[in-house]
Amino acid sequence: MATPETLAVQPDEFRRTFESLHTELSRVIVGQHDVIERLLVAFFAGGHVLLEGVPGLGKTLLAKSFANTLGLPFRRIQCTPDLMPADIIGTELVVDRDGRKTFEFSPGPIFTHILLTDEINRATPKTQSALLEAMAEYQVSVSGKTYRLDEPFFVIATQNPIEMEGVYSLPEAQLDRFLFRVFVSPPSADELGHILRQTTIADVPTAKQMLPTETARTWILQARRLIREVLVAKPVEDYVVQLVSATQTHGPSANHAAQRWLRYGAGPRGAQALLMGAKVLALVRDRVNVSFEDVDQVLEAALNHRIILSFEAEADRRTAHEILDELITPIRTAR
Amino acid sequence: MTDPQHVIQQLLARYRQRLRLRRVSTGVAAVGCLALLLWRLARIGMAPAWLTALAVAGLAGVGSWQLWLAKGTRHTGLSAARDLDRVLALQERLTTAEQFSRSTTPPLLYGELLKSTEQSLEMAQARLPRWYDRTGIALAVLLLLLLLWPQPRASMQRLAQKPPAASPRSSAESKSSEPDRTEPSEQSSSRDQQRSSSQPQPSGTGQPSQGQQGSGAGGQSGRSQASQGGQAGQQSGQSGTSNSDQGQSPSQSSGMNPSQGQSGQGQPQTSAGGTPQGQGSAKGTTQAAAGQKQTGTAQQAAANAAADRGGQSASKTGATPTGAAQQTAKQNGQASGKANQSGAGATGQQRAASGEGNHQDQGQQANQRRDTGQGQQGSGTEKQLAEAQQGASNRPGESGGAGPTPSQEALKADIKQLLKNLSGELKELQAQQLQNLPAQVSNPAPGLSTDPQLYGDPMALERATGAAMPIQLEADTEATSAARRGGGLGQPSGHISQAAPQQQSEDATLSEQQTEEQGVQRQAVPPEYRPVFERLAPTGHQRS
Repeated sequence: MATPETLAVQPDEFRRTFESLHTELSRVIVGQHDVIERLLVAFFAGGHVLLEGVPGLGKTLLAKSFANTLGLPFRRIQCTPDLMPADIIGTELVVDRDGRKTFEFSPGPIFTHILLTDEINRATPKTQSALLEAMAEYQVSVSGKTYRLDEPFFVIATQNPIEMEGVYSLPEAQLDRFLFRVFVSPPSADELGHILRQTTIADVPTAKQMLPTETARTWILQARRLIREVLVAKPVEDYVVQLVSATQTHGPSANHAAQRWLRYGAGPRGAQALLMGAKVLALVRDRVNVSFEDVDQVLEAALNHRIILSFEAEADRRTAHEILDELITPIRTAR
Repeated sequence: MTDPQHVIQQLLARYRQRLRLRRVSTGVAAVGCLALLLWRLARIGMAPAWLTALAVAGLAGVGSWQLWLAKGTRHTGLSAARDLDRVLALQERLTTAEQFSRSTTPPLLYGELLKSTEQSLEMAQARLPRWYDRTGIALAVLLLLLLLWPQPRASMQRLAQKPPAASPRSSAESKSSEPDRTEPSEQSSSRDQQRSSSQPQPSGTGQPSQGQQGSGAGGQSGRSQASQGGQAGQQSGQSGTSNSDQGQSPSQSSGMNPSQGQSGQGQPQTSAGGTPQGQGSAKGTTQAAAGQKQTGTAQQAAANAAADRGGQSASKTGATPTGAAQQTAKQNGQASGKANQSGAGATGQQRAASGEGNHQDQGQQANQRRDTGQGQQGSGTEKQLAEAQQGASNRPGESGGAGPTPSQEALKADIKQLLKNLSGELKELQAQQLQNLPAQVSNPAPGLSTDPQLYGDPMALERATGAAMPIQLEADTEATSAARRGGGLGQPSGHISQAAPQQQSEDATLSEQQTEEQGVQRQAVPPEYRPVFERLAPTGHQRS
């Protein structure tokens, strides 16, 4: 029987590091504890995060602070309608070397570890789709050549839900690439006061680097491996399957409520996101096994962007949160 | 921690032991409660058959409940671990450990999981369920309440003071001479009610006890009033004082037919210990009947039915005729007041007393008329019924036993005669109604209604004959190719209507405004190119 010593990162060590990262980010970002936790969970689970919220809530600051705490290279793309895929991925340039003109690949900003694509819904679908391959397979293809992205590769995309003019809603395939969609809510009155006191002084706090630059990348990869070793019992696995199946609109076991409110339900990526997020949370909660509660805690973030509401639901102004709650409550009660 | 399965089994055994103990404790408490409840019910006189049925049902319920509880704790393997996880809030640690303990190649974090599970179990030991739960506590409290709740002393005393059987007359006399000691307050209250409700009560009639003995009848009147939907005001107040206990107690104390008194229908028999209850019951029924507006026919029918029932009860149960009279009075109380007032006869020797009763009842009736304004006048038939009731009530002691006496037969004959009379009157009324009915509701034949709201004045159609038919139906006798009037091709007449549009001449004038755009003039050659054009110009001339 293998011992835990074969794992480079121990569960306790991971939990402590996670908590220190969380604390450091919470020092810079006032409030938004859940958002910070979801962001860290998605990162260690190996996914990407879509932050959604009105302007001025600190989404960009959160992404930058996150990259600072990890000590990983960070790039930012401000998406606009005239942004081209080559601006993200990179392009081949004619370079004169020793009198011979050759094509040479000039990598775009996507070749980094932490990528912030700000206001992603302002980019054209063509540009948005340029991210697809990179997000799913950690590689890009230019002129028939494939270039591997270094892991960890983490995309933090932000979008503003209130802008209707000049935006291109993310297609379902693009949305599915994000492990979590996290809503950034406005701060409370106390938090707003804290923000004012913290950001209108001379020394505005900035996030400190919590992982050493030399070992950060390795440590993160080993932590990801640890997370994949977290144990999942069969009942919990069945529970995840039931939850995702409850959103299916087709097939013999399709739920009536799902057929009414949804056009399409979550797919296998949704189930993967649920379980990976639950595994990270289990470690953070000082367990090496996933519990039902862990699944419940990441449920909304993992599935809310993977269900496509029907016309009736949109006409009735039902939200994904309400519909998910309606679909999942019976399963949660019967477990 | 060695083997999670072993640990789970140990924990499960402890868990099941606790659950078993809890089940036993709650079961014992439930059975105890049931036994105490049955004992209580037996003490207040519930029939043994009912008690047995209740005991069987209760035991069956407790048994099935215990089975259901036991079924919920039967688990094996993974389900046991899952149940323990849920109960002990172990967050699926046991389930996961149990599942991966069976795998040949345990995962890397399995040892960590066992360690974590062991730590959690140490804390969970204290969280094992207690041997009692809320249900057990509630049952124990109920058990204590049933044990410590005071006994119904009055009824027990009544049972203890049950006197030996005495002749109805003697008991009646004794009751008339002295009030019931067990319930003086109730009797006095009903007496007060009688006094208050019967103002013109003659004094010195030699029947002072009639009002007292009317306590049982007061109970009847209460029942009657209650059964009639509850009458407001003073009468309701009177009925409130005379409850079922009042109805039962006299019968028990007088030793007359206690089972009937307990069965709930024994209001008439409650004071039926040969006592002259006619007046009291009549009073009650008068009260009961007050405020009900009934037709004379209905009153008569009710009176006759009551008399019939009274006679039947007297003959069937072997109760005294007084009981029959009371039964009659009770039934009349539900239907008719006047008849009962007349039928409020007292005991036999007491024809005069019955007169007094009539006086009293008339007074009551007057009082009720004053209260409700709905007093009813009796008819001749009611008087006959009253006489019959008097006859029934005048023979209380004679028929304590089995066979019908001549007086009873005479009563039956009277009742039959009354019934005949009543049926005759009913038939007359029906005939009258049938006669009146067609005049009131005359359904016209279909299509012949002359309702001015629906139709206009009726207008008879002319009877159609062959010649007067408005539609000409003649056959065309001409040949198919023959020219017919109005047929053939038409020719243009050449006439143009004045209304047709006419051509009008119009003078055309040329507009001074130019419609065509002016031609674009050739642009002047810019100065810098002028020399070039100048050089080219001779060449052009040469070509030309």
